[in-house]
Amino acid sequence: MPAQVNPPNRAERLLAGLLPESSRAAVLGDLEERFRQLITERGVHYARLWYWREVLVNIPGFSVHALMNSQLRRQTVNGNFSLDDFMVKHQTKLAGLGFLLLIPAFLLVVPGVLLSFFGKAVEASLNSLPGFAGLVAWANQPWIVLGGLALALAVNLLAVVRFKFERSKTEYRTIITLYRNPWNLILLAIAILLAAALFAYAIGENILPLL
Amino acid sequence: MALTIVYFFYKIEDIGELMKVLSRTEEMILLAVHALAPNAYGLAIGQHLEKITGKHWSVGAIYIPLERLGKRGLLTSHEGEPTPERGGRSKRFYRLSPKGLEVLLEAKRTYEALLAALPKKGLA
Repeated sequence: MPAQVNPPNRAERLLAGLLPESSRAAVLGDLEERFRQLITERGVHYARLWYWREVLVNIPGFSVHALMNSQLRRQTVNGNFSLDDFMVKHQTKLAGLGFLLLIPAFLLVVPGVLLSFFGKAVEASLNSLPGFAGLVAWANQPWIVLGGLALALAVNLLAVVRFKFERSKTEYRTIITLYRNPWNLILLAIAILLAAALFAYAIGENILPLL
Repeated sequence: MALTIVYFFYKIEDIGELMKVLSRTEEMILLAVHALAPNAYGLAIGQHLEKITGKHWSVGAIYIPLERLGKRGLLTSHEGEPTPERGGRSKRFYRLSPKGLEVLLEAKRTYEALLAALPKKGLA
């Protein structure tokens, strides 16, 4: 019967993602072997708890190890780091980071735009929303909104556009290629819409009062 | 500034590599590999060290130094056959390389020289 019980799937996947390819099977195999020993010695619940504890305890160590042995580190230390190669290899991760940055940018820009167009009429309503009081104070600072959005836009652009500088005998050329990944393009579109919203915010805040 | 800090952080491991100093954990793992040969694999090493030191050795505390020692050429490894109790995964067996044995013998000589200064029957 114990042979049919498997280690917690989520814990196993969590750790597997951090392990280097070279030792992944060995580490997960050791954990599973010990897990089965513990089922016989202490029961299924104890074995499951032990497995989760072992995974959680080892996450920081394996994360640092993965970082120290990452491709970026190897390339940087060996002195042949190429931003272009790095961007190509990590395009998906950049898109994910861009998406994450869009969330705070969106949260800042929306109250900012509402405030600039409707002013005091919406400030009280926004402040009364749970968790929005602090956000409204931040959204009232145009430089914070501008900086956050510029960062989000830049990361999203880097995720979809590839810049390559080539030097021939006679000239320098800049090659700009757009990745054909629909999800990244959707994210870029959202970032551009947010930039447009920010532009509207800037107009509402600074130009309309002058008219 | 941030990039400089990251680069320096990246370099720290290389500085340690240049110094070629074995940590106490690495020494203990090398000794366990030697004691368990030819059946030294992660779990067995951990359980052996646990029995001797009385402390729990997590899987990361075993495998991260094992990989580092392998990269430094102090250990060699090979894969065994996949087994059902390991979910069809194979064991990775470790063995001391001639360089690893040499480093351990050097550490033994150093310890013996340093420990000779200790009084035989404790402090008077």
